[in-house]
Amino acid sequence: MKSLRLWLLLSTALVAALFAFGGFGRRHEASSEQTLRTDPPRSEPAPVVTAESIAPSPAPTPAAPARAEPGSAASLQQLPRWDVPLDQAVPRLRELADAGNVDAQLELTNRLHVCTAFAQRQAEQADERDRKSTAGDEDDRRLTESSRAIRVKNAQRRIDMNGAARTACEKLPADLKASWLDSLERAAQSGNAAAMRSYAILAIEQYDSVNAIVADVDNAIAGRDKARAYLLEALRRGDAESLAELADAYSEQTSGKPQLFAADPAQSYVYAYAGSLTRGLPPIRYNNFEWILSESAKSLDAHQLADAQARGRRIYEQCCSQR
Amino acid sequence: MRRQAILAGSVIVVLAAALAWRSASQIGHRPAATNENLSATPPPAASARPAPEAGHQATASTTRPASESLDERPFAEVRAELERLADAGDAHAALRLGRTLSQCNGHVPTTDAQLEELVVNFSASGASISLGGREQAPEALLEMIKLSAAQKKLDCKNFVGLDEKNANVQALRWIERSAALGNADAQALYGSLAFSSYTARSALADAEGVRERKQRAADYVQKSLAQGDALALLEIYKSYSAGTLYPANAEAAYAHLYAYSLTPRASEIAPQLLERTLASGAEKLDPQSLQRARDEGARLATCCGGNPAEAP
Repeated sequence: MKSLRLWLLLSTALVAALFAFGGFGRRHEASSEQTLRTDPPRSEPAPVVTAESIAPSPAPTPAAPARAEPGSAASLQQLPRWDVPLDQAVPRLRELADAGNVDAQLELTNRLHVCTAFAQRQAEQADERDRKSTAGDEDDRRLTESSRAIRVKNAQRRIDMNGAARTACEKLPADLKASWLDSLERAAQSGNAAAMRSYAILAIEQYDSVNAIVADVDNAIAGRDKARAYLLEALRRGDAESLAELADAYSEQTSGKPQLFAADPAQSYVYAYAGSLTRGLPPIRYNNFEWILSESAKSLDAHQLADAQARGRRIYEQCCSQR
Repeated sequence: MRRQAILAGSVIVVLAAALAWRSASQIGHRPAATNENLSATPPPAASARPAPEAGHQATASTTRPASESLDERPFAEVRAELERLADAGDAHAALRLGRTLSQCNGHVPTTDAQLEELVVNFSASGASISLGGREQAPEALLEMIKLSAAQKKLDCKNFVGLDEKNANVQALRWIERSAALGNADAQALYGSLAFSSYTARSALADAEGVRERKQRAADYVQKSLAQGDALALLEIYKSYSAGTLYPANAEAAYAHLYAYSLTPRASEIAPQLLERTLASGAEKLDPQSLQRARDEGARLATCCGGNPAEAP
């Protein structure tokens, strides 16, 4: 019976994945945080010889002078508060973004992301889950009345928020919504490494099913290539968080989100090893590096392992040893 | 184990039925097709022509493929011979190999009572199936599974015993060979199998390969249509529904499915399944679009032995 249930779950996942037509990929959990965060200013690192070279690399243009530094209080204070409704926040963000405010460029993409077809599908599915969960709670005797009420309230709040976002998105011009990634790319082109990394994640998130890729294959190729180039460029500029993304992108064990590269345990190990040597990353990153190192190592013999460690150390020394 | 196998077969065949319902939430949001959209429909054969016998090779030949004499014999018994013939250039043999491997691998015949029990247990376990983002009620799920099982019965004629891990890869190889040899059915079916070996990850990593296969699939289905093969109409319908080979277009999808329903090959689909699929497609169209799609479907059907005069 247990195995039957497992199979049923797998069947459900299979059917859903095949037929939801791109509706089941998860929005990258860290995307919002990553989009919002900008790197502190740092001196230009020496060029890095990465494990592979992908050409052509995007050519960032020099950042505009005499502007508040990205991530600085002066820059962030100009942005609309997070709770300003979308249709009111967007005009101000566009204005700031057009003036070259990198934080506004990042935030504009972040706010418009909710209007993408992908995010809207995700929201619809989340609403469905919340409704189902609320209905299921009615018969769940393990819940107390108060906890049931809290769960209902929270679910309804999420549903209402998604509904409000849908309404707000409807008010925005179609061309603005279609070009939601443009401001992020402008930030990336100005040399902002966090923007490059975020771009690498967001540009491919809609390609979470074979059908989605077949249907839009030319754009998928263009988006994938640009995303790869930006991610490697971010690393070249010393963005240590890119090591985590690259380790994940090559890992055989992934969370189900679209990946930029075919699985390659050796490459995954190289980047995870470089990441594990790097100081100052959030603790969760180190847990992830450890897990990837452990999983990737299973596919590598002693010689490959030693080689991967040597390559990982070189990358660390070139990109991130000065942190 | 047996129950697992039964459900495995059932859920897999649900995929075929699901095609009838799946696009409701996807395609329904898209703007209704315009005449311009419809004109983007792949050009059908220019004029009505007699439909060739299913699966016959395009190259006019008075000699029948050697493998036809094996058609009534069990697959397992003649498989080695089919493979030998297919390797020697028999497109009919390659088609049978490809179709059987893709459609009947893992197939386990089921009774309605077994399916009902499975769905009851499935629902009782708290699991559910969502199609197009919408959770399916147990009754709807049971209906889909039953219709799909009926279709599987037609496709496999209760053929059992094939259980191979890489069946889709083998199937694609044979279908590709048959299509290259000019078999119209194989050319129509190529697009259904061309991407089956990909995961989302491998498809993105090898998107150039996906693009090549997509182009080949689009070329083949047109060649199949030009040969007057009604199966091409069905495959084009699927592509318009899913938005894969062609941009999603509910009106063009309906037109091709309707056209297929007017051809003799419509008998290869379980009647209720075809009816339900047509009804589902019609629900997405306003009355004018529906009429336009039916008119277009009647015109398209003439390519492939369809008789518009018999249109419902």
